[in-house]
Amino acid sequence: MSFSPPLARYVADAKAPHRELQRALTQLSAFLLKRLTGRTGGTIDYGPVEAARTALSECGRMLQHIGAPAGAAHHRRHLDIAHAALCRAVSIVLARRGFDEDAFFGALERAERDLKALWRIVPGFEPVDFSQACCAQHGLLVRPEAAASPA
Amino acid sequence: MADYSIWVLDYAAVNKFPQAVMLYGPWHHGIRNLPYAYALLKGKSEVILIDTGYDHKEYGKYLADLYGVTNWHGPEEVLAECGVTPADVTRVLITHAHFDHMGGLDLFPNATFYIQKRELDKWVWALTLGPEYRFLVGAADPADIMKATRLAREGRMIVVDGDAEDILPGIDLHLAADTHTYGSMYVTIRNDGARNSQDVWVFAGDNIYTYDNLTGLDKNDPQLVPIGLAVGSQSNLIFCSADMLKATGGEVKRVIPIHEDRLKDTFPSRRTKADLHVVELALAKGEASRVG
Repeated sequence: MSFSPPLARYVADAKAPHRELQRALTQLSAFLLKRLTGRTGGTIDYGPVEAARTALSECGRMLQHIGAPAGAAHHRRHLDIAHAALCRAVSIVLARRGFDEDAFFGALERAERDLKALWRIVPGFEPVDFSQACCAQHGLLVRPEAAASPA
Repeated sequence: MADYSIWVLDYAAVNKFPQAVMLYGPWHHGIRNLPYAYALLKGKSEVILIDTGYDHKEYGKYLADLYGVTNWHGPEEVLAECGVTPADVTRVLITHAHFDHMGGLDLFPNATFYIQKRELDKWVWALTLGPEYRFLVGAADPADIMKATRLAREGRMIVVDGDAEDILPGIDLHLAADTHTYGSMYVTIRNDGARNSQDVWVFAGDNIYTYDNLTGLDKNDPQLVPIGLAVGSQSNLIFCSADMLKATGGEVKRVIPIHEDRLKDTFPSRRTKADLHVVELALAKGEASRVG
């Protein structure tokens, strides 16, 4: 797949905020998972929420500086929707009026759908990095062009 | 007579896998076939899987193109070789959170799943670190956290904190902290139900990849050799291997490395039309052989 220069620049720039969105989704999902599977009456660990909030803040800052050329408008829209959904999830956790689990999980599912859509639009936005997987340890034999040179 | 029938079922493979990843050290010993597989247990009114495989529709082409994972077949087809459907599965024991062991969480609609608390906690922690630390995340798929959360909302995800005896009749879970992964677990099956069983099987997860991890490569001078890919320590892997061997009374072949290509030669087995293997370890009373 070949891109025009503006589109190629967009794809390169969008990877970092995409990574932050993935990280936020994982953290928020983990927060709920721990809450659901932890001991009743135990302390709630808000660490993942803090981590997600930091990732979303960083993502929002980066998105402000990324322009989307015409061919990337659809892709960018999914990024924005995922970002907004995850910000909504954080605000649900931090709301003073009790934790609305259904609304929280609904926001996560919305973000998940849009992040998956990104991958289907443009390669390189896979939701998972398998480069560290057991089966990937021979990846450089399969793809020698990917080998890094020593600095 | 055995309480559980036990089979190991291939569902995919990497045909050219470096031996040095399976066994620390022999850097120039070439490649092996690495089957992807899970274990099926039937008995005591339960249909149990040890690990889930992964869902090819999510990442299959990506994995096949980049890393040579081939011949993937879904659980409908694989389990049918033993007369089971995914909907029949009642319990799934997840040895660790790598995609090829946990990536099929959504494929078994009536199952309850078990995983170690430490595996989830440390995985999430590793994901908070920067991309330069991505080795620590290993082959975990963040999407699986969402799947696990969905299951937890349905009351189908049980988090186990450490060792657990008789999680099901005759089946024990053992935390193997800081080995292949942070919270790996191995599974022992006391297949006669006795506390001091004479019929123990151990499912090692990826704490060993091959029997050679338990014996070394020199038949005349056996030793424990760790796998070549871990976030934990080589010491922990070696002591975990020793514990697993002890559980079987030192009988190497009963410590099952799910990625071992030689299982099909060690136990009765059959090649399916899809060029996968069904390996039969034990048959419970009344169960027909699936390899005869």
